[in-house]
Amino acid sequence: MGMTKLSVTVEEDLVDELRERAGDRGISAFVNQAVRHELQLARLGELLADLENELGPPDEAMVVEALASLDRLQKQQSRTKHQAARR
Amino acid sequence: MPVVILDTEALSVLASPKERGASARRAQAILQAAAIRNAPVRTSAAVLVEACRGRARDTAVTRILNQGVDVLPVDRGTARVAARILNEANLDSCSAIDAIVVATAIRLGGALIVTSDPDDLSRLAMNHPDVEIQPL
Repeated sequence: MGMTKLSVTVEEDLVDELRERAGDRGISAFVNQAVRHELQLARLGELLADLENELGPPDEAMVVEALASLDRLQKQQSRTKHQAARR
Repeated sequence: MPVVILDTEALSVLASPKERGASARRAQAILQAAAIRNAPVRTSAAVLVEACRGRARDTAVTRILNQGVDVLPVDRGTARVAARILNEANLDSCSAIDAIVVATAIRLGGALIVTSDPDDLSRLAMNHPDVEIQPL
């Protein structure tokens, strides 16, 4: 994939943790992943807006239910991670 | 962070929401929840084999794919996991695409799979607590 060099400024309180978490992968790889994630969420926002035009606003009870599924899954995933770490 | 994976029906429902009533409302709510939790929404390239048949469907599905639903490739590792769980679940290759969807979730370290066919997918995911099946 082609790469373009950009110059960006980062808020000071982020820099230490950014360096630490980016680690061996490097800051560029970390920032690329973060940008990709943000862009995807922005596009998802467009999809949600289109759906709202066609269907009206999302059903609140259904959203609460879906949030609960995601949270349950996240808990299960961190349990699995802990178990793997103990092994 | 959990990932949301759309199967063929989930994509089709989102591609023509007006015709799909209650399923579309449910899919809309799941995407809304994903956005609230910052959870990425993905599908598998294998799903497109089923979802993109016919020009009208292809166009509608392509629109969804350009709106933040990333397509994950089927690599060698995913294919082998799919083959293994197909065997374990005693299903034949008619369920190959379902198996690839579940294998994609397993390789991501778990995911919420949105589907209108929860029975087969649950069977394929039975030994994988990190894969949750969300029926439409």
